[in-house]
Amino acid sequence: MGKKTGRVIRTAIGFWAVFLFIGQACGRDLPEIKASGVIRHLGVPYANFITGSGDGMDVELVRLFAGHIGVRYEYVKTSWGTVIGDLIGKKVKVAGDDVQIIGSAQVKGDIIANGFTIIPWREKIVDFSIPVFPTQVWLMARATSPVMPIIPGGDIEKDISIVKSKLAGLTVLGVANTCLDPQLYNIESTGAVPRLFPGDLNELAPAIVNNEADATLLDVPDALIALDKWPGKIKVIGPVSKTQEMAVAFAKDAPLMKDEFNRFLLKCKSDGRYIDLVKKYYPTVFDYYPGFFK
Amino acid sequence: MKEWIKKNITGKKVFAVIMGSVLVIFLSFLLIINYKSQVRLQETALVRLVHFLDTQANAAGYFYLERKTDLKNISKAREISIFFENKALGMSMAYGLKTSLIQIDRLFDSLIEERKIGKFNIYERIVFVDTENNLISDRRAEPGIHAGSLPWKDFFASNRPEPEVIALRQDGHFDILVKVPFFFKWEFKGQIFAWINLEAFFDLQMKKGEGMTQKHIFIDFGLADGASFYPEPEQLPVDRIRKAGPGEVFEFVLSEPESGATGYLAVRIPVPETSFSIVTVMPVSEAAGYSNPNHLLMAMIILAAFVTGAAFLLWTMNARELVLKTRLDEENIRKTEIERKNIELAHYRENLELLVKERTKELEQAQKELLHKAVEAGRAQFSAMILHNIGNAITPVSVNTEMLRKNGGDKILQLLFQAYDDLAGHRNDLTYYVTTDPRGMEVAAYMGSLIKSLDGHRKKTDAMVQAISAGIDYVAEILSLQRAYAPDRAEMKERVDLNRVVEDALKIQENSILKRNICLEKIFASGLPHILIEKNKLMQVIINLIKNSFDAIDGVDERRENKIKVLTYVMENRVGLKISDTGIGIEKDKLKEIFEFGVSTKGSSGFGLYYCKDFVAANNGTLELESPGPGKGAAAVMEFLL
Repeated sequence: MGKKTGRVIRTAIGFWAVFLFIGQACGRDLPEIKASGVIRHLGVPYANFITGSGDGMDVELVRLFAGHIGVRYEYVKTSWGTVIGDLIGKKVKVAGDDVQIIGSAQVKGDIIANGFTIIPWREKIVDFSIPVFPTQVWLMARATSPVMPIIPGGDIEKDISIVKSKLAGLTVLGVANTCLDPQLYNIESTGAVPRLFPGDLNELAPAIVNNEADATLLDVPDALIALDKWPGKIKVIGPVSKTQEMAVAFAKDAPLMKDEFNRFLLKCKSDGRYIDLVKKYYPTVFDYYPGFFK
Repeated sequence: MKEWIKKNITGKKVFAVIMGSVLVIFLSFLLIINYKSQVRLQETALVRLVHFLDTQANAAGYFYLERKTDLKNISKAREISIFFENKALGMSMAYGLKTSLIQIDRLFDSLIEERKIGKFNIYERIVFVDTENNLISDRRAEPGIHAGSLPWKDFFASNRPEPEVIALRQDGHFDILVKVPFFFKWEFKGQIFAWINLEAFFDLQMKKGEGMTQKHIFIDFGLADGASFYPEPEQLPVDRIRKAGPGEVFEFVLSEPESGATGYLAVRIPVPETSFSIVTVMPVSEAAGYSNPNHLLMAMIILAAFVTGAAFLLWTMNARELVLKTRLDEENIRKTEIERKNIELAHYRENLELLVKERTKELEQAQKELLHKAVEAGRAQFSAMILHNIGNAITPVSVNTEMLRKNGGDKILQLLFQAYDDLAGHRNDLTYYVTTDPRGMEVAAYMGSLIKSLDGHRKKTDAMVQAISAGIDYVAEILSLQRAYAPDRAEMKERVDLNRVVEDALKIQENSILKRNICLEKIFASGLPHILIEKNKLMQVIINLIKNSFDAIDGVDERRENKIKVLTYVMENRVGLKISDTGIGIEKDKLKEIFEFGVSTKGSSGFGLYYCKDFVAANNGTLELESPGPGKGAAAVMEFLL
């Protein structure tokens, strides 16, 4: 085999390898998804967004979207640590509000929907749809904890401040790379001892009940469920964040998908299907965030 | 005394007295039994009424017991405890506590939705009021129902931990509430109130009623002010009702505008588990029947008095005489009735005879009129026939006369005289003129032809005069026949030669026969005995029969030889005439019918044959028709007894 031939072969192999790499690294947009006939929903079992039993508010929402674009629905289980890599095909490292790409990963899904809070670092690497759900991060403590719930003052900043003032010396659970990451709320600066919980978000409240820590960060949807599950065992101290929003995430190279989802979500809001889903899974949320649902 | 007894006390009277007594005793016994039964029935009815109310009250009590159980269960509900748990933990509404409230709302909503009677919600509103008078939860079956507020604290009952049923009267309507205190960790935290749907409760009561209508049942809610009856009655002795013991039936009277004073019964039964009572109020007549047992007693006494009086009367009167007198009276009445009816019958009979006479007269008159009409019709027909014949006879006379007038004989004579004058002018050389002179010879020849024409004309004239003479003779003959057969007012019977009359009739009909080309065959028996009869009527009958024959011939469509045969004969003691024809014939079943009055086959009045037969029969004769059948001709046979 001549030099020239060898060079050609190598170039071709290299070309195809790059192509495959890119292919692996690239998410699919709407045309590709329609052509494939399936939409892959990346989900982490969490509260009533994805119950783990095959239903949940986000599961039903994405199923409806699949029907809207005329493709089959497929659930792809992932974790909080890998969910973004599974969507964009890149491994990321979060540092405060910043995020670094530290490697590549296989794209396993087309859409993230599981009570995914819109936070600054996530916005840098994924595109979010219009907000799907309201939320907030509360500090929850064991019922017997000496830390008492705050009396709301009507000013969220003040309330947050009061809550943080009570944290000194407390062990506070959080989950890295999620909306419950203590770094996001400068918990450490309050004198509290933040601990990253290795388990599921659903296990935070029982961890407090079991005295694994003094307090935990919990977002409102999960907090409401926890209050119902362990009445008298846990209590809400107060907010550590302002009102946040949850949305569905798409790869940045899937703008058509995002736009189509937004159109779909607006239609669901106008014809009542969206409200029905919220009533089904989070009936009490309307009283907390009435403004969001108007 | 003994004599009086012997005289007045007979066996029959004693028997009557015994029977009367037995009857009185038996009737009294029946009335007493009836009275007792009535009393018993009324008592039973009242017992049933009380029992029924008892059942109603127990049903109502059970209903409220269930309501109390509902509220007791709610008061132990986890949802409310969670709320207080979280509240005790210091949680605020903004951060977590509201969730517990929402759960309480859902708990109350679920109870309202689940508890129903039929289509009605049992609970109309459920609230939870905390010790600070705050409405923690307020849920309603329908928006706006029971919109008003209550002085909640007045109804707190922390010292009575069991649920209670209370009634309130607000704004003119009743509210029935079930309330129960709520304790959290043995500490009174608030009260739960649930409003009962009063209509649903009342509907349940009525459904369980055994034919009781809503107008009879009331619920006394036991309010102090007295206006605590539902539905609100128009007028009731409330105090008296409340004083009555449970199940005690008492009566009272109400004055009503329509029916005046009316007696009522009332019964009150307390409802278990509540301070209420069920009260029923109804007219005595509805509850206990329409007859008063005391009235029956009165009826018994009166009846007994009546029977006793009747027995006494029987004792004193002679029954046999009475019966006989009664029978006699009946007989008299019957006899009077019969006499009256006999008189009526006699009057009716007289009237009937008069009526019959009148009707008979009317019928005879009608018959005479009809006969007169038939005779007149016959005469008119006869006269018409004569006139027709005269007309036929006169017509040729008139034609011949006219021809005579126009025959031109005068002209021939004039020409002859001209020829003579010419010859006379040649008197001296007449022979030379007529044998040698051309003009003379022409004149002579012309004169010869004129003489021949005149002869021919004379012969023609003779024939015309003969025809005129014959016509005139015929008319004269006809007119003489008319005179001979002219109807006379007082027509008498006379001895008549049948042959002669038949011949004259044929004469009169001669033209009609000739016109039809009918072959006429006459066979007259010689030496016929004369018959005593009205000649002109006989003539009319025969003319009618002959006319019928050629009418029958006219009805034949096919071409054949038409014949009429006229035969006179004498047989034993009878003289007869038979006129037969080859006309259309008559159906066998109509041979007799055709003589009936009004029956005609020609569309005429139908008098003819009827009166012919009638006339012949009146003169000891018979008139019959014979015919082999339709299309085969017929014959009229007339015979007179000698």
